[in-house]
Amino acid sequence: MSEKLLEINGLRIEYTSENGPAKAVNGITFSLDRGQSMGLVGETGAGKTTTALSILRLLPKYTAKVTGGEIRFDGRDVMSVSEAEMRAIRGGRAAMIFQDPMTSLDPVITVRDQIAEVLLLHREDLDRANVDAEVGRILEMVGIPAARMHEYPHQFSGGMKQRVMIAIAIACNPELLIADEPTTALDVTIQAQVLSMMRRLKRELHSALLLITHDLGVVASICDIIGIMYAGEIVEFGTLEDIFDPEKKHHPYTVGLFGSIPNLTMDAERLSPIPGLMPDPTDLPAGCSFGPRCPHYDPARCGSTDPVGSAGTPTEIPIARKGQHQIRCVLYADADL
Amino acid sequence: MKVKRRSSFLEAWIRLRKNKLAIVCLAVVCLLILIAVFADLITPYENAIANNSAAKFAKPSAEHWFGCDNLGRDMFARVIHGSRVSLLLGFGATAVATVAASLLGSAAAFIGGKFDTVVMRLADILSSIPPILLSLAIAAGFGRGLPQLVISIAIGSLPGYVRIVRSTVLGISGQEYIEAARSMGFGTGKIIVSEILPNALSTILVQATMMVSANILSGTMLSFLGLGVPVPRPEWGAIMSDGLDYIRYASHLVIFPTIFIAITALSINILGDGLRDAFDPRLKGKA
Amino acid sequence: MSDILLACNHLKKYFPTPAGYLHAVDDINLTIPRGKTLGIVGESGCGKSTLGRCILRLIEPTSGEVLFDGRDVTKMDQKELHKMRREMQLIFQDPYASLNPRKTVFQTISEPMRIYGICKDKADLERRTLELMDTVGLSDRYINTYPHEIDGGRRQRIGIARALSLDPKFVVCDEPVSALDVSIQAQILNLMMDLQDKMGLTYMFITHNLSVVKHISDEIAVLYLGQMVERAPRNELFSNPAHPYTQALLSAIPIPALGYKDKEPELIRGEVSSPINPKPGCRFAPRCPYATKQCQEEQPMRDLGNGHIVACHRCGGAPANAGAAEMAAG
Repeated sequence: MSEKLLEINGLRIEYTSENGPAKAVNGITFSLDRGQSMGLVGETGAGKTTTALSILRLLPKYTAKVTGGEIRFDGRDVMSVSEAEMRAIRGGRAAMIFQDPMTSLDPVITVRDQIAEVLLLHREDLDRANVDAEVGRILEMVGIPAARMHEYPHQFSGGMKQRVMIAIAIACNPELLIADEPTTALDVTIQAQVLSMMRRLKRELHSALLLITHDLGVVASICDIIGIMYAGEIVEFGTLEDIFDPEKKHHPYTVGLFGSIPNLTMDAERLSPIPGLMPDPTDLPAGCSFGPRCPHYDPARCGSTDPVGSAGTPTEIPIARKGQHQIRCVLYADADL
Repeated sequence: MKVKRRSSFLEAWIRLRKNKLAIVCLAVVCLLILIAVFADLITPYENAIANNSAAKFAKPSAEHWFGCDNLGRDMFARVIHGSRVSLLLGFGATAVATVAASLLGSAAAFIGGKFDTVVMRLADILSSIPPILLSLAIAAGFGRGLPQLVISIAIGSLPGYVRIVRSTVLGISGQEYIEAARSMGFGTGKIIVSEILPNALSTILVQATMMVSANILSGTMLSFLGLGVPVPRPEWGAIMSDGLDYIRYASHLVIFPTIFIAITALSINILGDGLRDAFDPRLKGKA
Repeated sequence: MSDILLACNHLKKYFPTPAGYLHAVDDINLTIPRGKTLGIVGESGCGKSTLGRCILRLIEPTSGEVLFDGRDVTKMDQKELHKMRREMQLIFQDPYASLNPRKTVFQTISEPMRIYGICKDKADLERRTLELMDTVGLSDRYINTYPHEIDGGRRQRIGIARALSLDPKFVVCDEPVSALDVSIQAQILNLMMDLQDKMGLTYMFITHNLSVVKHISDEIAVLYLGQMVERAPRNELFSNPAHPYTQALLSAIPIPALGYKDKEPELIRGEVSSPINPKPGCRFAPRCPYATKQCQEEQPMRDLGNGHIVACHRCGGAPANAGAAEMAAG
């Protein structure tokens, strides 16, 4: 067994759209070790969910296309395995938790049957007679009394439904758990309960976790390593300490992101938002994609802000590295970090 | 920066013009209407009803373009003059039903409460009566004739139509922009006219275009039962059902009226789709 | 002219449901001084949006009074209400659903002014619309565009411009930034604070996001199942939360900083129930770690001084009559 569970190398994904190809993911590279938890942070349209879906090959068939790079799950190339093998991985060795617990559960099937379905599909060792006991055990793990297994999803509250979703995802002890904004739809006190439960599960199951979120607070409470995504690129990557330590060097977008959140512990009269908007994925700038919004923008080094079509070849932005910490920005050389 | 001042109809027309297929269909519909209006100039009504035993089942020729029927009546004249009744049935019944359904449906949705209950239960009762029985009742009460036929077809299609308008309006009145309008001090009438109806228009329009062809065929059915316009007045449905008996050796009796019904239905449906898109600014620049 | 622009006294809204009456807003008393911001915080189902709409009378309150500049909004007839709507406006959460998809930016912003006959002619209307767009930071090239062609942040600016078009004194902001990305959220929050300074607006800012409410409010009221459990000036509430629910709420926020990884906050048990035919006593008691028998009987209001009022008998302080609002209004 290799230490690296998930490796993504130069992944590029495009969607077809009326205005030409929309470049949703533009060459991202990262790897995730067994038992490690990684946060993928970014705003709407940064390509977080697209990346997550591509790992399980769940991208829409006709409109999305992987145009480059590779995804390796436990050393195997995800793009080239057969659909049957992929089905065995999905829900078995790698599982996904979706954002909206209200629409992700089948309303006419009991919670017990929804969990049992996954168990019978992926766990051949399991005797049919023991399914109920196993379902009960899994429900207790996510904090739902086993006695409620014969109820229907509508009988559960929002937070409880998300627990059921998590129960389905962990039913087969997956090695990789992908959670796409798992607490965004929940109230803050319920979010705290679910996060606390996820931390406990992480300790008990030793699963690797890929957490996709826009909430830096959630990331700070659970993740080991973090990637900050912007316009389909990971602009900054590092350990929790690398990213959250204000003393260290950061990508201007990361700085902007932190400046945009009202801080509970400090009193700031005004927020310092990032001006402008994320670029249109069908019309990305030839230079640094953050260039048009960046306070340090320098046309000589960052490349043109005009789209690739009119400004010619794209400018490659260098990546500064030190240890795990990487920043994709011309401001820094390796020695600066 | 200048504010563009265009009515929504003008903007819709500009968007519709970009849709080639819809424009072709619009031209076809206009042509059909012109044919119906100027039928007497194209060929005298006499030709459509005069029997001519010498020309029974005549095949299409230079003299009789579409051939002749079992009584030797000129098929071309019958089809041309038949368009009058058929289009009047199709458009007339649809227009009556659309106005009635829009008013009843949006009022039921917007006023709600007892009024809503009464309207919907009436619709239930109406939809439980077979349309033929309804037409029989109307014919018995008000006699036979074109207006009665239009009304009875319109009433028959009303229950489903009211239901569709009501649910559309209900969905729209739950939207936040309706609440925004209320908080801006808009009155109820203003909200219905300027906020709800423009957004309900596309649903109503599509429903209406599908009904035009259905209504032409309803007229056919009623004619077949002798509840339609009195013979010998031609009407596409009636011509088609008459010809059905001779389809094996005189297929032209069925083919020509069928072609006209199909062209009418098809072009109205495509035009309806085009109109729906044209009235929706969200589709601007596409299509 | 009194200092208090808006006061609610014993405001209630009960919705009939098949299971009984849902106490969405239950005996709320609050005051908002002119030019200040009152933050209303609570989780889903606490009645915060209903409260905002009752104040604007978009929902008819069951009982109680809403005094706006000394006049009772709940007793106004249609004509007075129409006049009043000019002065009280609403900014919505969803920048997609709150704009009519068939109206251009110009139509959306100018229509309220047309209805109230604010501008003398079309040129004036156009000039004022462009002014408003400039005020909210919307470039004039958007004037003929439709909402679907514009991103969420700019749509929210349209919603703000529409609310400001009638030159209101008081604006209810119902989760105005919740649907936006953080970088856009900050732009809109800054804009709203600038507008408040410039136009002397009074805000009631409804949100579930405690960081946002702390940033923008002068005073904060915490709602739980239709009732106000605590009200205090901003810094007082955050440094000195008295009600167990407020404490739990504050400790539940994930902090975006180092040193919080794998730290367990103080969790509260269970989930929010629904306020249908609620029992007397404190509605938070079933989830409260400190609940005693007394909590099921009464829920006294305590005044801790400095405008800090809390609905919990555990907290010391003098008994507060709900009358802070009444005194101000009188």
